[in-house]
Amino acid sequence: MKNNSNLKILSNGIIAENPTFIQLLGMCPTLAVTTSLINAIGMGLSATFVLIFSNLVISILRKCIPNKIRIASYIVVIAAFVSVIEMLLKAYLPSISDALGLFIPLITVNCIILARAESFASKNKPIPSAFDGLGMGLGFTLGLSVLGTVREILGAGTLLGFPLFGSSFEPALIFILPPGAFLALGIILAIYNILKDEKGAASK
Amino acid sequence: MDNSSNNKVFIIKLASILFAITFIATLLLTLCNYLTKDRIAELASKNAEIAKQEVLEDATFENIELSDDMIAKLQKEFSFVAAYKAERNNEFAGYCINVAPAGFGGNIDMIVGLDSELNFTGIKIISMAETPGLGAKAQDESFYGQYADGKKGTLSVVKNNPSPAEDEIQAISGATITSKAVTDGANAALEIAKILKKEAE
Repeated sequence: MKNNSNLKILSNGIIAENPTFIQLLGMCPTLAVTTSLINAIGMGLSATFVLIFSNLVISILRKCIPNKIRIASYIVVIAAFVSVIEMLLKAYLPSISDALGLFIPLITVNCIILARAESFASKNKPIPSAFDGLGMGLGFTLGLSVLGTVREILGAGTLLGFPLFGSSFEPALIFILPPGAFLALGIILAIYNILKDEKGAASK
Repeated sequence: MDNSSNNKVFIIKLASILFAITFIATLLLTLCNYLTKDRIAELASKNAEIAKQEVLEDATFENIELSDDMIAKLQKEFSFVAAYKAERNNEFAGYCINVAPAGFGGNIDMIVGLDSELNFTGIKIISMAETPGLGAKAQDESFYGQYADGKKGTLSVVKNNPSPAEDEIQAISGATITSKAVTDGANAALEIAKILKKEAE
């Protein structure tokens, strides 16, 4: 039973309340880093790591943190984890750190992390909170990966850096430029909503 | 009276809790920094060393010490970062100049190699944040390879010229700003090298 509820929390983050497609949270990194699939995966997994640990620690501390200073405390905890992952990436995975650059420190102000601290971790026990962090993180990674795949294929004609089409293929550059991020996200959201509506209608 | 002193106690309590959280976070970061800083510094110097070897092969490098005034002047005019003198078999072999011209997405940190006659021997981009698929193609050899043997003088960027002259660089299609920025960096390095050579004489 207990395992069941943790799994439910996990799938909630990935599908039912997907941060990118349903809650539209964390749009800044979503639009900015999804120019290629590898960047999307790197950003998603780094955010997942921070989400799991910040949710866990905030849930453990939830009874000691007075209401009035909760936001300040959450930000300190989140910023600390982000700095830790930044240092670890620089020291041990420098290629990912180079590719993500500025976006790693920006995880601190990714609103998904603060939103989950506020709406889940501060009200639930540590283990479910960690699962919530994992689910939301994977949901975010999934959202970024879909967007990254679409934009990389259309805008650069490659996937994970490998050319998909012959050299005569002329990629639509706009998809890896900022306007393409909005276009691709809008179209994907529309498709997601159509699928969801059809599924809802079928189950009725 | 009672109410206000209660309030004071409450504020002090809040402050001390926040202080405790911040203090623990700082301890954690200090520890993490202590564990990773040597490795990070080592990787950075290794990367710079590899870049220098790539633009001027088989040479040994020595950092050129400059006066503060000189550094300030070079930084202002030529986006200067550092300069190295290269030697091969105890003979002067050229300069490696580290410059950071402004690109489309922030500064482009790059190393430019020049031989003893101040001809370009190659460039290497250490780090940049140009648009993937466009400006980031500056890191492909088809682009940076152009700044090698045979290029000399102040370089300019050209478009759609299949056989660029010895002072011309073929731009990356769709990324003129990046192409110009890298070329500006190469030109700045040339100017710095001219100044350094004059001083040495």
